[in-house]
Amino acid sequence: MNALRRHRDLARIWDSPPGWRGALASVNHSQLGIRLILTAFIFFLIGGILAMLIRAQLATPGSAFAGPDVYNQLFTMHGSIMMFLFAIPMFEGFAIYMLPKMLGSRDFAFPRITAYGWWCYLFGGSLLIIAMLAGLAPDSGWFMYTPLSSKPYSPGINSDFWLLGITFVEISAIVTAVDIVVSILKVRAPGMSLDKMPLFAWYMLVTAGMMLIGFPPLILGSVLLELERAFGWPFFDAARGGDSLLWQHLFWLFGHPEVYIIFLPAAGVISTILPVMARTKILGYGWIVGAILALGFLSFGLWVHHMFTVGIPHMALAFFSAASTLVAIPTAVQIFAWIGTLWSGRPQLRMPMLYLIGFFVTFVMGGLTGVMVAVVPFDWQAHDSAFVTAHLHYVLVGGFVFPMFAAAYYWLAHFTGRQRQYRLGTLAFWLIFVGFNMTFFLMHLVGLLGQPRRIDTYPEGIGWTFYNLLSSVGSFVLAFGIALFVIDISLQFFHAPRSRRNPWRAGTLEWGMSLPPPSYNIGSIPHVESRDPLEDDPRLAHRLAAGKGYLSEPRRGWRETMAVDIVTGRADHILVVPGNTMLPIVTALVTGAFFVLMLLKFYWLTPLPLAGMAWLGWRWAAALGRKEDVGPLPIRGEETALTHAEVEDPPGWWGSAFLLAADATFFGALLFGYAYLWTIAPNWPPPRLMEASLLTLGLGLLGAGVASAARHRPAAQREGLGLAGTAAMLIALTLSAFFAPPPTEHAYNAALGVMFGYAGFHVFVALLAQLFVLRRRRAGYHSAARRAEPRIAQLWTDYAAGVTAIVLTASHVPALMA
Amino acid sequence: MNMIVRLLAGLTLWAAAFSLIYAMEGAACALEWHQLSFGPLNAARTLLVGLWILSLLALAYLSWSFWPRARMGGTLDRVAFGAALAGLAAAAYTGMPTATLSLCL
Repeated sequence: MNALRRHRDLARIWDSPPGWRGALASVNHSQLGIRLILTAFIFFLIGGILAMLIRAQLATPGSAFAGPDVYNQLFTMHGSIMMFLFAIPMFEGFAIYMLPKMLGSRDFAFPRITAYGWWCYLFGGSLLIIAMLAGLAPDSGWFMYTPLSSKPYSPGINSDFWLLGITFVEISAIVTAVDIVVSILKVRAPGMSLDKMPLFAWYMLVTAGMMLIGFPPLILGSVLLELERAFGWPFFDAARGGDSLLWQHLFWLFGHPEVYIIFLPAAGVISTILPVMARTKILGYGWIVGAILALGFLSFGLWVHHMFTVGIPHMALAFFSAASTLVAIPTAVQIFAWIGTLWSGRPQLRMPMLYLIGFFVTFVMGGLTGVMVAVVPFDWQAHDSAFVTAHLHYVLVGGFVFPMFAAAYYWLAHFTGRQRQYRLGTLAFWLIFVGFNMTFFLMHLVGLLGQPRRIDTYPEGIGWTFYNLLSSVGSFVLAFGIALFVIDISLQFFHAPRSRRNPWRAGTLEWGMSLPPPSYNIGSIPHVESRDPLEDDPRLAHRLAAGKGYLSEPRRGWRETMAVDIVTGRADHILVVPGNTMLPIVTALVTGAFFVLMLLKFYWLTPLPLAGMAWLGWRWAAALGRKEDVGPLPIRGEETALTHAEVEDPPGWWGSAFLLAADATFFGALLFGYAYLWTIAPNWPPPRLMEASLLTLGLGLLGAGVASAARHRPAAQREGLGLAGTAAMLIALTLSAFFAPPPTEHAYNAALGVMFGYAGFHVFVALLAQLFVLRRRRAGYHSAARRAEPRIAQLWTDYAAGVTAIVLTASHVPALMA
Repeated sequence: MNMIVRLLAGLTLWAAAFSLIYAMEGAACALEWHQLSFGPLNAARTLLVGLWILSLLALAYLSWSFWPRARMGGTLDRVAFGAALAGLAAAAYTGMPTATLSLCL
């Protein structure tokens, strides 16, 4: 087969249909990545306009530009948009577009999930923007501290928009993180062992892992606060056994790792671009991988440094102060590796490099003030002042925005197929760099002079006016710079000449394809021998287009890519991914309907979208699978491999495992909240405990044991025992919930209510999974070779069994002992 | 998969020890264990310092057990060893307050 014929055949299989129907049904990772990037950039511009309004208000003392009510909405929406709707989706979009290309694959592991994540993000983000346009935007600050955000102090719908809208967007983040982790671990070019992976993939692997652990506590906090606001379940109300500090713990368990979740992908961009700009290889690959891992872990030990002033014992403060200073070390390892790379190479001052220099200056300053606020006595002085605002902008703009602008110029040819021609970008950089430093450096000073953050005005004659005025001027210079950047990039799209392949002479695989890339990325999949495949073989792109790699012959209309062994990168099986479908957008709409009904307080209607999601979940799984064994198929020359449906642990199993890991973090945070309230919160013990029953506890534990142990039985027995065990769990949980005291009375009762609800939900999911497997087996979808579906269902059943056992023990045993 | 476990082992152990020590510090103060004593030893201090030393021993053993592979193996074996050492250093530094600072103030 010649290259043109191969291109036509692959394009027929992988292209999205034209028109609006194709746009709605597309699951192509390149299209979805670009959509995410563009949408995130639009949100960035909206957040930037809000920032200019904030600076306009603060430019002069006693300003009447925006009243306090509007101002509260401005700074809340600015923070929320930049953190949740810009930074995270921007790097997700970039990763979705770029990772498969860098890893030498044709798509992500779960294309429909990629599309579902995009739609959830779009709908959830739109909810927040609609709220703002309606004058109902959240106004309690982007970290929504209770009791300010609780019903008595924020009675309107504003906070509900935040809680429900952000949770909707977080669903997108979680499913995308699962997609990224599994794709990096399993869907790479054969030969690409872990230690040959591009550094960007390492950064994204750790980032996505952190998202799976870091986001669930925030989702839990949002659920609990919404339950308190909507139904009066008092998790954060001290008078009824709640504690407002629980919100702070849950929020910052997410919030501090979030800083690194934003920084690490940008650091991945730097580690990719910098050696190319320096015309050498990255120095200290292993050191950088170690530093990424260390950052991923250490960043979870810092959350209390946002709470140094709330009255926590000194020893605990010292734990977190120590961890906060410690995290500077792996960050510095990377900085020194980058400096060493520049030192050992021959750097050239091209546009991406200019932004990288901007990054170095800005981020190092942000890091140094970070070490300052990590020290408790200094933090007590600077807490909640403009100094902290300046610090976080130096870290986040320096650590994310500058590298992403570098990325925009470095990979522009990849997206557009055109080379940079106009020179507006240099002027834009200097305006951005000078404007940024003028705005935020002065905030350090005015913060040290005592200006609190988030004030809508200040009196004349206390020495803040000059700094604020200059800061505001700087912010407008910055805005002009951003506007020029937009114009510069837009010009490349429409007027620049076509780019040649691999214009930077880089070594990574994303440049081994035509620009812009076709929907299937590469005509055949390479066998990777080193970390810089294109440097080893500059003609690799032509050889792949000519079919000299894996899966060069399209067959059966399947969308095929290679899956590998996680560590060694040995070719493992053929992954056949699903094609275009309306399921993602329909599922996202039904998910959105649930959140909108909650927002409008039509609680009695919410079972409808929940039932719809269960039905769609069924359809989602039922669209896959085959009724016959295919056996080994040729992949390259004489080599053969099975398809994913006939291997022990296909990507679907891994996806479930990682989703359950995030789920387990949610559950762990819930147990932490329960234990925290029990030991720390005022007004405990509760007025009465639940009516415990040994019989109910025994029934639930027995059911959990039977459902889990059923795995060792033949299929028919396994299904029967699984269903019986699951039914027993459901009965025990229902009885427990029935005999629990009303959840509005005390935080203890409310915590029990959530735990029973959580376990009940998972038992219901396990029941659905078992019924699905039963039906599929009878329809002929399972065989000795095709056994992945029962294994995945068993995973969910085991999780439900474990959760039920823990919930029943944690609820009944204390009451029995009392 | 063993390689993934080795890469994550040292820092996971640090995270577990850090969380446990922080949780025990909270529980000890809430339950007023700092008012109890075992002979000359304060109960809360003994518990916290004991957990700290245990975590150091466990991480030191882990680092030692990873050393032969790090010496002979590839990049990732060296990263796993380095991560275990980083876990040990982090545990030593972040746990030090258990021995030096006042309790429950």
